[in-house]
Amino acid sequence: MVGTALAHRYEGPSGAVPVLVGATFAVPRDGYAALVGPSGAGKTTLLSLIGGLERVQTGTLEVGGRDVASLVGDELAAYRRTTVGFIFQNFGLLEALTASENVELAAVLAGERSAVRRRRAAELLDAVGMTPRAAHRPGALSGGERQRVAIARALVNSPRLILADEPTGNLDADTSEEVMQLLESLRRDRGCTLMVVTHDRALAARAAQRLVLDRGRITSAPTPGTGATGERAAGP
Amino acid sequence: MSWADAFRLAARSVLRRPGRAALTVVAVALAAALFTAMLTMAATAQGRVLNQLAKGGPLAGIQVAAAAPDPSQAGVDNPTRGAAKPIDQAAVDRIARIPGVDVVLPIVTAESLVAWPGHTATGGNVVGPNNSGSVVFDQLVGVNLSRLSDFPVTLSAGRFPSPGSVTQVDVTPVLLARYGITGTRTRSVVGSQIILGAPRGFRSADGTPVFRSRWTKATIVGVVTQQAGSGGVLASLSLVRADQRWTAAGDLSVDPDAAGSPYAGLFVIARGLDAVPSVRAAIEAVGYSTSAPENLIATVERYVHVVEIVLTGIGVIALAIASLGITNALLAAVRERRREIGILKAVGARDRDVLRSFLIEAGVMGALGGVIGTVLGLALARLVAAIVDGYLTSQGLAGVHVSTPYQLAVATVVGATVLAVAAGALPARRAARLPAREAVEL
Repeated sequence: MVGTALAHRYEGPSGAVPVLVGATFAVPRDGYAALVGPSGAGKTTLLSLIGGLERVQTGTLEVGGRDVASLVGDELAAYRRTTVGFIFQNFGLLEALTASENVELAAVLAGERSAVRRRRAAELLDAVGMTPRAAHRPGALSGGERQRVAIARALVNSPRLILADEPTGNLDADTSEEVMQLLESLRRDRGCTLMVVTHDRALAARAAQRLVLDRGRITSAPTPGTGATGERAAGP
Repeated sequence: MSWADAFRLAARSVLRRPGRAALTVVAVALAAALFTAMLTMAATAQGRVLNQLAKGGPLAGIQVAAAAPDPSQAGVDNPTRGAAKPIDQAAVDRIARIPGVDVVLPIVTAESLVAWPGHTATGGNVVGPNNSGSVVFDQLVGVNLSRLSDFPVTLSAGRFPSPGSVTQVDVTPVLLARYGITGTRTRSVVGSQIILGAPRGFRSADGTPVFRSRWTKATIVGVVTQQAGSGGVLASLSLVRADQRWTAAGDLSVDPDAAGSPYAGLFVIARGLDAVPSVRAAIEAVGYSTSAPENLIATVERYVHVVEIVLTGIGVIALAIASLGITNALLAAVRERRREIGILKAVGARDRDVLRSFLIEAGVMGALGGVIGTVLGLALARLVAAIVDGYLTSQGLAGVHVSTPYQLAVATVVGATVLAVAAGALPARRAARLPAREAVEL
């Protein structure tokens, strides 16, 4: 995953507000990167660009050798559906659906057959330890349980890239630890790239690579230390 | 996303806000009920009016009299007749071969004396057999009872005689009025027995003309208003023909009318209203006077059509207003569900997936409202018809019958659904255009 000179601005009532001003970074295949920085630094915007939630305005962005900036419409939707798995701070589960149906949702959108997606959802819920709660709606689940379901949903279409926006932001310390361990373990097992946005230094330290975003630029991508996962950055 | 999956997702979204969905559906249902009830009642009223005009027979029915036509009356619904002219079998066959004629139904009549034990008739100055009450002179009208629905006959109480029966008859309010029985009391005569006498004229030994009757008992099984022939008793062809033969076998110098036309008239059914004028002209060319309410029916149909257009307009406006309710409800839903829509897009939904989901939501509410409203509307129409029916029958008139207009029901449901989908187009489009970024913004 390579981003070069990414610039992005939003139109506000008092004119354009620049959020990213030439952000450049690289994360290797199967890498584990933490994106850190102060509030308003542009972390969520960068994650949105990488995840295809937002179109690239300036600069280039390649994911798996694919030019994300050139994707539009259905191609961009297909990219979000199959290449990326998104995990939100606020879980992003649909309240009208059960945990199992939420996990199935991404497979439904991918046009998978009913039997296949049910089996896949069951396997993933089992992997995140949520089988007993599969028939419950999000309102009946704790924060940690919701995030487990969200992780399962992010993985249902076997994406190569998992993007997590403050995945433990709404969780207590113990639950945060459980969720991160689960996420890292699944990443290892499935061999996909993981990028986590976080304010938590300890959490950032677990990543093999740390991207520091400040005022719209990646100001440093220091050589990572040994994290709790024991991994090292493969280098940009 | 498949249609089935989109439907499931839309159904979940509707059920998530049951209160709002219910109110929206109720609005559509009320409009659909209004639409269905108005058009059903209009159709019922039209049917009732046309039935009244056709005297209970088919609209394309033509009455043929045993009389020559009056050339100056061509095209008139009820023309004055020319001189009497018997209808024989050859004439019947010629009329049956006229292009546009669907069926020719004979009507026979026989003179009859009617005695009703225990009842005294106004003007009845002859005593019946075994002192069975005063006797009135009337006519039996005989038709093919298995095709009664094709004749201008309307039942107001009881039932029609069984086909082929020689012991069951229906009587008219005109005959009953001669016995002082009117209004709702006419219903009470069903089940009574009357005695019918077929008269035969002969001369006594001294040459005096004398009438002697052959008496038969019959049960009144119903009360009808009938225009098939001029007579107060409706019976089977076999009963009337037997009486006709008995009377005709008498001394014709005493009763010259006994050797009249074998058929008192014919009831001809044309293949549709459009064929009526040409068939009437052809029958008159054969030499018989005809009558049919064709001009009146055409005029009434035009007026009724105008009423239908107005009522349809009102119903459509009501449905359109209800559909705006769907637009409003869905616009509110789009505002509330921005993040949810963003999440759908973030996990890979295309614009058309979101569009489809919202259109299905609108369609489901429209269809549901349409179905409920149609059922309510039909029930309302039946309720009104029952009230009107009660009034009419209490007045001794034929009641109204509401048929279930399946085409109208289907059209209402389809129309409500289509209008709802159209009303949902704007919010659905708005939802589809929301960016995936909504998932992380709120």
